[in-house]
Amino acid sequence: MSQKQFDFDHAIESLKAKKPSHVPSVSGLLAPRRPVLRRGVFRFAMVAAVAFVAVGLLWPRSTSIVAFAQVRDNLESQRRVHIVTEYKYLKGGQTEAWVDGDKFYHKLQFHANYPTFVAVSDGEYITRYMGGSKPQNGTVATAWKAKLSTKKAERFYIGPYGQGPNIVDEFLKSKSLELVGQKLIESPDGPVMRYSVRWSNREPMNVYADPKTKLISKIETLSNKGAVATETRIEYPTEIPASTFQFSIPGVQVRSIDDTQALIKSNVETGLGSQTVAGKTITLRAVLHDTNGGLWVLWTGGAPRGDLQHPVKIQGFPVPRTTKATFPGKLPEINAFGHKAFTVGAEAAKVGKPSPAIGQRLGGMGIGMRGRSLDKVTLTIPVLNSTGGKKLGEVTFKDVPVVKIQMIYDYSEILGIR
Amino acid sequence: MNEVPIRAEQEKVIQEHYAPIYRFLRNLARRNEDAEDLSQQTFVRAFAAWHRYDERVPVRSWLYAIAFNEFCKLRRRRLWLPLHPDRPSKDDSYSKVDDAEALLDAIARLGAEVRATFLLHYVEELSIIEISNLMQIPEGTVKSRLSAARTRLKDLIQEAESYVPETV
Repeated sequence: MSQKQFDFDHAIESLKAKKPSHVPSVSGLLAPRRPVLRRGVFRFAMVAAVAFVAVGLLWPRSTSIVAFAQVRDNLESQRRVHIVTEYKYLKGGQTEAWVDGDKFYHKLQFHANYPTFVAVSDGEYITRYMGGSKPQNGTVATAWKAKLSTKKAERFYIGPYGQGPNIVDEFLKSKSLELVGQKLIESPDGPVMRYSVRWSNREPMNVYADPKTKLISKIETLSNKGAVATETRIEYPTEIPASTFQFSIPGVQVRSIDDTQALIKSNVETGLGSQTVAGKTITLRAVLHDTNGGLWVLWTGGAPRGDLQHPVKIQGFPVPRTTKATFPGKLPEINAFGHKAFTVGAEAAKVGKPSPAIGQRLGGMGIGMRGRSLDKVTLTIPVLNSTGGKKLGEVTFKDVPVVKIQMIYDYSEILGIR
Repeated sequence: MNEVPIRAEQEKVIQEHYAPIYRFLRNLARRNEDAEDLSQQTFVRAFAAWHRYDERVPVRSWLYAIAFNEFCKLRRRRLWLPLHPDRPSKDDSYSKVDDAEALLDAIARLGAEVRATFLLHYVEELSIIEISNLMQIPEGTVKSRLSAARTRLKDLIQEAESYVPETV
């Protein structure tokens, strides 16, 4: 087969030609686009039901043809599944999920040597591991474990879309499924029902089901060339060993979010030190270093303004540059960045709230400290007036212990982030 | 300090810059819905942060920087994986679609920063200096990323051209 010469310039011109379907007005831009996706613990059967209701069904033409509705009903009732998706266009790219009622194991893997993401629940605790990049706060590879106590906690521990990307979830969440064909075909394993399902603006998806058990065995998504882009195999084991739902990756430490939360709560409640300058008392409440390298310094007694023009200073490091755009110039070695919940800006009340531990909002900021392992820091905090714009003085706290965390949002409740 | 722009100014900014921002995000994210969401978030954030905008920087550079940050947030939330990109529009001729999609498939396999650098330079036609400023990296890094992208894309496209579709 002769191969057409790839035309790079032609391809670039095509990419330049991509346009939105319409340019919105200001009011259209500011209106909410779509409902927040449902979040929570993965429920394979529930998400199956949501999407299949939207499918147009073809009635079976003979008793040997199994209706799509029957396949859907069976899928909905399954408690135990094992799903493996291979991404044909990503060498080694694979997701794997085991589900047994409330227990699950979900792995996403792009690299041959280590998983990119793993979430495991034994029904009582969930352990979450995000690999693929070296932690920037001096921790070794770490997984974080928490008790499954509230739906909100589950959302943060698992991720915005349940377990992370899963081809079945994506397929089932689609609001525009259309059954365009079904056929009983022969395969090496015997007769198989094949359904062609179109979703959104995509190529038809092939869904294969066993006509005897009426269970889906395989889902294929296709590229625009008609090649199989992803292949998902689904099995229905009668039993799954309990060890499947125990987290275990060699070399990965497991830390408890609950223990860390208790420590942070204690620090916020009692404070890490207080000093008074110009009639204002600054009480240091939290010093947290996340795996992205952000060092969060939070206090009560005077929150900064949103532009962070008076940054916290860390002894031994240059004064942090703020996030205000000042091009061109030398790149800052370390930078200050913020979260509106910890400033005095107009929107602070929308995204922040008092910490339940002390009944006050925390003020503060993050300092970019990537690639540094910090066990203790000496830091100088600006003492600001009520609007956060004028500096009245500064206070220094020496040798403050640093708490290592994965991400600040794991502690939203105690820190007062909405 | 800049005041929050009034409605007429906001409309003007959207009219001038929405389409290229959408195009950049569409080529990054590969899905219309994601590109639309990210485009909306970009402009909402831009208008909210207008008081921090430094007029020495072109508006479009600033908007591209916000757009790329929004894409990176989405990527972090999703552990980004192009599960199934949207298929090309029916309006595109087949030959253009073929090469553009092959290029996007290959671009998708680059790291996010390299991918964005490539798109900003070759598709959005930003200069090396502009990209250096908005991504806050040295000009040398921009050049080396572009060089690495070209080399890698060439290999990926050649690899893809030898892939034989499976028969059903």
